[in-house]
Amino acid sequence: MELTQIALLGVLLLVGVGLYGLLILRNLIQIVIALQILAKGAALALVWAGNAAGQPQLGQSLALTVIVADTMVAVVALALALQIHRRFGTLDIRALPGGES
Amino acid sequence: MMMVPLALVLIGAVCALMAIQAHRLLTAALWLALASALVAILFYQLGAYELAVIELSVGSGLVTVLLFLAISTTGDQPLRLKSVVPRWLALLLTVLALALVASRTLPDSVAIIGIASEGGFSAVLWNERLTDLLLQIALIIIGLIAVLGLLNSPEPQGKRAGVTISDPTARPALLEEAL
Repeated sequence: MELTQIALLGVLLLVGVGLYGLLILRNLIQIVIALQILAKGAALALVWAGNAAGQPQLGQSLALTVIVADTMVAVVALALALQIHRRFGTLDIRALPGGES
Repeated sequence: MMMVPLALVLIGAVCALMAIQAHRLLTAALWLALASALVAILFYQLGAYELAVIELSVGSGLVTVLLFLAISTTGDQPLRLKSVVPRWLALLLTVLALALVASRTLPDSVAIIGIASEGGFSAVLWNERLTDLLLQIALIIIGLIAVLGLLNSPEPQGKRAGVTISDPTARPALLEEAL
C-alpha cells in the first residue's frame, strides 16, 4: 500500500467520522468538535491531492488556508455557544427556541 | 515501512470516533487533540513539515485550549442525548457519501499527474498564494472582532435577576417577584 493511498484512507475515515458526527450530535460544542474532524480530513485531502498532482507546495498552502479558516470558525462557533448557554442555559440544539424538543 | 503511516491513520480515525462518542465534553476534547496530533505526524510523513508544525500548535494546542475554556465556562454537560438523525440513517448516508468520494478519487490515488512546481512551500505561499495569505489575515481579524462582540454583549435580563428566562421552572418565581 502506497503512502498516497494510506493518506486517502485517512481522508475518507476522517471525513466519514466528521460527517457522521455532524448528523447525530446535538451538543453545540460537540458539533464544533465534529466540524474540526471534518476540516482535518479536508486539509489532509488537499495535501494528498497536491502530492498526487505533483504540486505538493500548492496543496500545502491551500491546506494552510483551510486550517486557518477552520480555526476561526471554531473560535466564533465556541463564542456563539457560550452566548447561547448564557441566554438559554443549554447547549442542546433541540432545546433552543425554534428547535424540536 | 508503510506500517507506521497506516497505524497513524487507523489510530487517528479511532481517536476521532472516540471524540464523537465520548460521554463527557472534556474527554471528547482530549480525543480530538490526540487525533489532531496524529494528523500532524501524518502531514510530516507526507512531506508537509510546516503544515505539521502549524497543525500541532493550532489544531492540537490552540483549539484544545479554546474548547477547555468553553467547557469550563458552560460546565461539562451530560451527552447522553438521542441523536438528531437515526443512527442507522446517519451511518447509511455517511457510507454512501464516502463510497461516492472513493469511487471518484481511488483511481487517481497512485497516479502522479501535473508538473512539480518550483521552489519550496514558503516561496509558493508568498509568491503564488498571496491572496490566500491576505484572506487568512482578514479572517483572523474578522474572527477576533466577532468574538469580542459576542463575548462583550450585555447579559440577558433574566440572568441579572439571578435566573435564566428560558428556564421553565424559573417563570413562576419571576412572576411571584413581579406580583
